[in-house]
Amino acid sequence: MKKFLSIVLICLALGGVVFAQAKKGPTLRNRDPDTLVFVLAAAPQPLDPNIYTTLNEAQIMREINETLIGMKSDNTFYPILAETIPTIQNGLVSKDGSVYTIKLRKGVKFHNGNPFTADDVVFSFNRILHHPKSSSKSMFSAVLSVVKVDDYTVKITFGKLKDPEYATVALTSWEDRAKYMTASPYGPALNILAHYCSGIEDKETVEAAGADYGTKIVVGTGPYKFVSWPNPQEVQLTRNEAWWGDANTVAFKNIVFRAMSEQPQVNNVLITGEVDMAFNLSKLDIGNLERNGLVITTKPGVTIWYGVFNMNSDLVGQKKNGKLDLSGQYTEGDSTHLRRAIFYSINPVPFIKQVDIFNGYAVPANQMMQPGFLGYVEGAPAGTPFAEFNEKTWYYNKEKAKAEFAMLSPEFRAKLGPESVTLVVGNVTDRVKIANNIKDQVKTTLGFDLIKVVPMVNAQIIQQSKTGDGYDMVVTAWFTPTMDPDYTCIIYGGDSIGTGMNGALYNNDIVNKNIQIGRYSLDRKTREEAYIKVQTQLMTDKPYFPMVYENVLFASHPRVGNLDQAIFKTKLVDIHLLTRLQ
Amino acid sequence: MSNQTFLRFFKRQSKNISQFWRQFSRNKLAVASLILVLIFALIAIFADVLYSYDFVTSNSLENALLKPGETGTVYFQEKDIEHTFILGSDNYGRDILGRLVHGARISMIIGFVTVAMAVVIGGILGAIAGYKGGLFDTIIMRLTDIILSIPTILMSIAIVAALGNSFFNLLIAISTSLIPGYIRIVRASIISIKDQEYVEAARVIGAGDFRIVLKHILPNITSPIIVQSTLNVGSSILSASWLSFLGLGILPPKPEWGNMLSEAREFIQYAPHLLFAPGIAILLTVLAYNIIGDGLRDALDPKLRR
Amino acid sequence: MPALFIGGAGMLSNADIAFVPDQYFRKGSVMFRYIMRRILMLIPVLLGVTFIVFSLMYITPSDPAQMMLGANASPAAYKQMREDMGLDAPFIVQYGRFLFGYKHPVFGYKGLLFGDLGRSYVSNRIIFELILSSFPNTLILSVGALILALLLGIPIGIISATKPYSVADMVFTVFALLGASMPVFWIAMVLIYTFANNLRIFPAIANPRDFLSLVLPIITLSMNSMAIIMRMTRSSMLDVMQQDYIRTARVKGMDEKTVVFKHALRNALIPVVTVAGLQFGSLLGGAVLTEKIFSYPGLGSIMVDAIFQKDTPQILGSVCFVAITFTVINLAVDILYGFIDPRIKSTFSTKKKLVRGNQ
Repeated sequence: MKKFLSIVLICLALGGVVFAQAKKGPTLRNRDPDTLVFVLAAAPQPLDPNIYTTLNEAQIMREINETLIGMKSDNTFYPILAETIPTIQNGLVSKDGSVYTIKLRKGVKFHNGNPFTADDVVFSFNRILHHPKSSSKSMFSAVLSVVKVDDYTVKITFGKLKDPEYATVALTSWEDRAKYMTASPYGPALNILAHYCSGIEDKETVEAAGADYGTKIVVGTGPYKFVSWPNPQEVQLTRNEAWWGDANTVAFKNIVFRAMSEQPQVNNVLITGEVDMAFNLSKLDIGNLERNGLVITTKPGVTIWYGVFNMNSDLVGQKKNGKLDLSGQYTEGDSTHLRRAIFYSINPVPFIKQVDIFNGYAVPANQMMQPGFLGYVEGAPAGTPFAEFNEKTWYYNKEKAKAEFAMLSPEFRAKLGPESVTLVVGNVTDRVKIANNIKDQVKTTLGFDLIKVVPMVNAQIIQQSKTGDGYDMVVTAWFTPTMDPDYTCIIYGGDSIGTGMNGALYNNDIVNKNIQIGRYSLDRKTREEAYIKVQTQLMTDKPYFPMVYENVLFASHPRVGNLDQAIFKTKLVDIHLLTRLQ
Repeated sequence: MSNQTFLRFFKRQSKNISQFWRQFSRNKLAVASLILVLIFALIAIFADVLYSYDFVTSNSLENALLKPGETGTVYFQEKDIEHTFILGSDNYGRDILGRLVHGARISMIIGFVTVAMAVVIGGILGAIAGYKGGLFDTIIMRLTDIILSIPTILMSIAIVAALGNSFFNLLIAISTSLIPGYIRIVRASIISIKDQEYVEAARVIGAGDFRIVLKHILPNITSPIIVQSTLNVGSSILSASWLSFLGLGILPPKPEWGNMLSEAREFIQYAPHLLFAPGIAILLTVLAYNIIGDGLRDALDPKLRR
Repeated sequence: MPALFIGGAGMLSNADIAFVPDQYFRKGSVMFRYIMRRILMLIPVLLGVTFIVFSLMYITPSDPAQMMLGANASPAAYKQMREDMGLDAPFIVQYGRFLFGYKHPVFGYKGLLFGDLGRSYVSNRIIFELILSSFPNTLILSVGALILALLLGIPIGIISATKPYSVADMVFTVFALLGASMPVFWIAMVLIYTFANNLRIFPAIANPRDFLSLVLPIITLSMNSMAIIMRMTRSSMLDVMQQDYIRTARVKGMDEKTVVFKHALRNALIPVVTVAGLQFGSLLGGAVLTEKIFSYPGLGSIMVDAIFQKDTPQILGSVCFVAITFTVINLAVDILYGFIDPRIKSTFSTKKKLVRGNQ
């Protein structure tokens, strides 16, 4: 019995240890103070900016490969590898706005000592556009040609397809581009030149390394250079002392990138001080992070969470005699009413408050465009479809929802069984939670359990979205890394039907025309007007329900400073701008 | 097959059962575990009486994350009800105890159905392999080797990832990895018995294959199968929980202990009671099955009888 | 082929104590032929493994072509990419390519038969290079867990067996079984919360180069094996303690300690060693969850990621590698079994009926 008692005592002691609460700030125990440990959401793909585009490797690559032009956290452009920003005023952009002459910075060297020249620029753009594995082909598709003028000057010409029919042709060389494209001004030109995918790579090194470039050999001109990649989850960089910029302003000598997919675990390691910075944290208990001495930085982001009504669906779509009917004016059928009834039943404001979804780090969205972008309609101006919006209840309107629901014809109503509207959602906890909330809200508002939530693998959703079969609604999110409205327009442009991005199969001539105007003109005013027209039309037709704009949220060790300048709306951080406070 | 054979079979078994029970009940821990499992089984059976399923799956966000014992007003079935959350509420304001009760049902179903599937499929394949021998034996045993060479966890993940996230696919994924065990047990027993004199004698006097299996072989393989199944019920419940952890388990709002636990892992600092309730439920159940399994093994093992 | 190990969460029944590699003993001196046979038998097994894994991956709804192209790829580019990657070919052709090679300037490879599956769709690394570089990390974790499981499991098993059904036995049994009854991620979370977050003794991220950081993952991983080893020790000890020679030793007046440690333990540990070897195999595969929680760079996390991303060449290569490792370990255990127990041949022939009857 004595033994038994002693074991009970040991168990109690262990229990005490488990619940022992020790509040200590993050420390740097067993860690080199010169090294910044940065958490990535998943293992990065190869560090080859021209080919790979996901956020994880982008965060690493932007410190290694510099772009011609940069964008600051306040969305203004500044030259990096270019000497000046080309504009029509300084004559570096041709009168018609299609040709950009870029003067390259002289005396810049790659990490291995190779000089940076116009050949590297031409080479890099060729890789983006014509490498079989490149994943940013479509983002740069408006580039018609990149031509070397002399060692320190390149001419970049933008253009568009001579005929929209050519969209089915895969352009695989400069010759193809010249054949199928014609020069044209391009609205987001500077934005894509500032995008990390156009990071300049060293022609000589890349050609010599072959397929090993990006995993074993990585070379750039940036403030940090590649050291090693000991395992898929960890990448090490060190300061480039020979950086053309001032290496002395770079505060951290080394960076270690660490992939961690378990969000609660990210919070743990932030608290213990094993890592310095992370964005893929569990938002649930930010207060606890703050109490433990971590610094929380939050900014409005460029991620919009939205829902899609499939226009091809019999229940919520917009079809007439079995065909899509969206050319501006259309007849309001049963499916139109049901779509509106669902639209007005939803209220995303509670999701924003919900601790385990956004936990306050998001704002309600009134349109399918991110705030601050060209053509964003501020607030709820009267006389527009945005007038129904307000910050507290979004577009939610119980009476309207019920009225629309009551307008359904008896035959149509009889067809609607419980859970007859399929809401497809990516197989990720957050998304499933949001989808279930929507299901609940529709049930509460209409008094009828209409929606069935079907989680699916993302690829499957994209595949189904290409043809619009097998679903009525989708809940998803869109992220605009270029910071230009044109990239957001992919969601509803008629020309992206078939790519799987326009999940509503929305194809409205007014919208399409204005997207084209916005894309192929340089004048800000013209572009803005076009985009406002797009948004107004979208909120009139309601093929989408914009839900929230998600904030960018970073937690960092108290020793890391200058966060406001370094953190971007795109969830990326200019690590070389960070400072050391301790 | 006549009923008589069955009757005789059970009559003979009942003598063994009383002897077995004497042996088993010496192990107090196992008896306690058995009682615990029975209680959980009763809870699972009468889950609807204790809590209505709609009540434990519908959200009431204003009651989110209540501490154990707190009271809240729930709007349920068109009216407001005053409700005490004995074990607190989760992030959707759902009663944790209610979810545990309904989760017991789903977890038990997972445990029993996966094992039953594995016993039936593994038993039949093992019997064919052992009894027929030859080519059948080779093919079945190679299949077993193949399945055993793929790590259990990966096999389950791959199956769920390939077939999609549904309750039935989860059952398939879990039970696939259990099947080889039964094939081996059944095959080994049959091989060791089928050539013994009394079986051959039975065959000579014209007993059919089915009769031989039932009369001579079944009694010999029941005890290892019972032991193995008991242990596997526990491991199936665990498998379901880590599949949830990887996002491949049963999807919320359906209450299952594994998905409750994996959903709650974000709350370890914020609301630890969310983590401990389903964790302890899983722990107790699996522990009980393991102890019973051990007890059964000791009781059924002729070598340990004294 | 002898019974190797039972699937599931590694629960073993008594049937496994009694397994004996029959061919080995019947042929005695032809050990070499036995080993060769086992290795030859690996070929159909590997073919089966690749076929099953490939089929599962084939129906997995992910889409590597879409993933590689990123958002808003034109249908033309998508079609081109599928052609390049060889994803438009029929099932059997694709499977054949994995075995015998695929010719393409970017996505080509020599085939599994020639030990080359090209590069991963996702990480663009050479598949077997990645496997070989991450396997040692998993190995460290598994060896550590196995050692810990043996260090704890055997003594607890002995204590339990010396006083069966006593309070101490009960407490130790429950203690050992606790580890096998908790979901791995739950154990890991509680450990991290306690020792990393609150007590700050061990880090929460594991790293193969830092021993201190390996403590928590090793404890997590060893829990299940410890329970199995403890139970195996206990039942094997109970079995041995009833043998005639132990009774004789007791009658002769030897003290209990000598009986237990000198006579019983040596024989009782034989099946334990076997089980430990088999556990090692399942630890290698079972490290997946532990690696994921502690963000440890092992083979397990690579395999899980590969499944989710439908990185078919990566998962095929990894699973084949693991299958080969499993088989080699099992073979080694079988051979070892014969070496540790030279009496086994005679025991086997006299005890044949008893052993078999128990299966």
